[in-house]
Amino acid sequence: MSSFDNNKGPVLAFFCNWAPYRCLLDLGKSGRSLPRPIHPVKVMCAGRVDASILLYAFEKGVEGVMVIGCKEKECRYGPGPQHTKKMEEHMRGLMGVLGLEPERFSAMNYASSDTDRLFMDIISFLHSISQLDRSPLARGG
Amino acid sequence: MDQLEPLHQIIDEFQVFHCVECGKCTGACPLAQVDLEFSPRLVAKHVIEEGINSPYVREKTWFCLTCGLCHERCPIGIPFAHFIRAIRLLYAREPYRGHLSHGGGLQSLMRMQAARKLRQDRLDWVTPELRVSMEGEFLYFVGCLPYFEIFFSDLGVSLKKIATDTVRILNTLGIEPVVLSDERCCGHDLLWTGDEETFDRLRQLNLESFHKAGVRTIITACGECSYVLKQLYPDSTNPFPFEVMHLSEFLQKTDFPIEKKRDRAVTYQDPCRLGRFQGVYDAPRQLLGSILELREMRHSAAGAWCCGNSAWLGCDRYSKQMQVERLLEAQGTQSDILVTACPKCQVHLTCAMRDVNRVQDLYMEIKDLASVIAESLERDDAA
Repeated sequence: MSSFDNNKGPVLAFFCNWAPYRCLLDLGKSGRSLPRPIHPVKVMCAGRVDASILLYAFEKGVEGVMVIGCKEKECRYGPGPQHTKKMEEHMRGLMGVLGLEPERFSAMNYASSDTDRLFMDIISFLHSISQLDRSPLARGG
Repeated sequence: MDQLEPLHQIIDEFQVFHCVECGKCTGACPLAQVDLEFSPRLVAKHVIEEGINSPYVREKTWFCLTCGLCHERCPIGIPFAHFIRAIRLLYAREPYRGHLSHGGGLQSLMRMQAARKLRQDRLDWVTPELRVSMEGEFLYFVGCLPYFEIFFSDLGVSLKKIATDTVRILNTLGIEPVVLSDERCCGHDLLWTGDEETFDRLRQLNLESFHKAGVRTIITACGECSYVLKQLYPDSTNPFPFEVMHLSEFLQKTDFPIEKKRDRAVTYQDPCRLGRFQGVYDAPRQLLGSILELREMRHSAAGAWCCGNSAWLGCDRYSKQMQVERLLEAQGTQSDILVTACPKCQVHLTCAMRDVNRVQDLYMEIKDLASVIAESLERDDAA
């Protein structure tokens, strides 16, 4: 994470209120904090985060977005993870046409005990973004 | 008070003071048939009396479909749709600018295309058998089809097919059209939702690409793109060396080989931007009529009803009701296919006919004009 240039724009991370947010709390309890570029956004269900929300974030110049949801059968509301899967498909397609690198987007599922895996994934996500140029949509970039 | 001056200019420019309050606009308006509060006449009246801070104007300005049917009926000829566009631009700095459908994602996609550094990859629809070029006289302006294809993939409409079919038609004429990998959105929807600044940037970028590719004739298969490129891209200060044509106009000019096979009946939905905004009514009808049997809906040509939305703004129960009415009209012609010349009409009407409760009454095959023409070529090949 030290390789991530702090002058780059923010990275948005949408955390589902249930398992992923529990992981985030556990992360804090264990004395680790989120790397600086990450801006966490808590949502009630990752399934609610649709492509339009992510497109708006990219339009405003974020370097990347993560959608962090619960595991397939553990969604409190039922269809959340399937929604996310569908949205991921759309989003990857749209990013392909826009010419945005696929590394800028990740949609992952976690159980509430997956704190370490989540932390590692965030670090590696940031690392892969740090290999890229600034987003072509970044302000003044 | 600082808004008074531009508002007066707009009222002057569009001659809104000349309104005789006859109410023909409201009688004709497809939206007013379902939303009893909406009335173009009242919007004009409130703008004159109270300005743009009137709550009625503030709300209804964003409800208007801008389909231009009222303009068609107005005895004075007040261009109400353009008047609405001008009023919307006055709201450009306001937080409320209508309810954008699809979460505003489509507008985001369009605004992103205004970034100069963006390197799009929009040509994945070009299949190996299609012949296209990088430079040349003819440009095919694809528009937002590659994005819509993905965005509306759940609807089961193949919008990229419009692009492949258009190139196939042009190839038949011996034309290898230029297609730009870095083409930008024409900007129509942004302009009509009050974002003139981004529209200007898109226009600038597109014009640069046109000049670079050395094109002289621009062909589009979309009513909106052709309207914007033809009427809103030229400005008074710079020469505009391009001739813009909708595919149907272009084919009308050329000797396009069409075999008459009137084995199926079609009905035609006039897109507002192609019909009323450009006056292109005959070209698509001649083409369709020469391939298949054309049956007109009750509201057609200059009196055609809207597909329910424009500029991805405010999709609500009124839109749905209008779409259902329109589909029932199309069903009433006993046609096999509903043909349109705008991908958005296709998206809106397909969405309405997929309602699980009404799919039995409403479902009918819907196709773009380009696809119908391209398929007639296929049958020629087989014969």
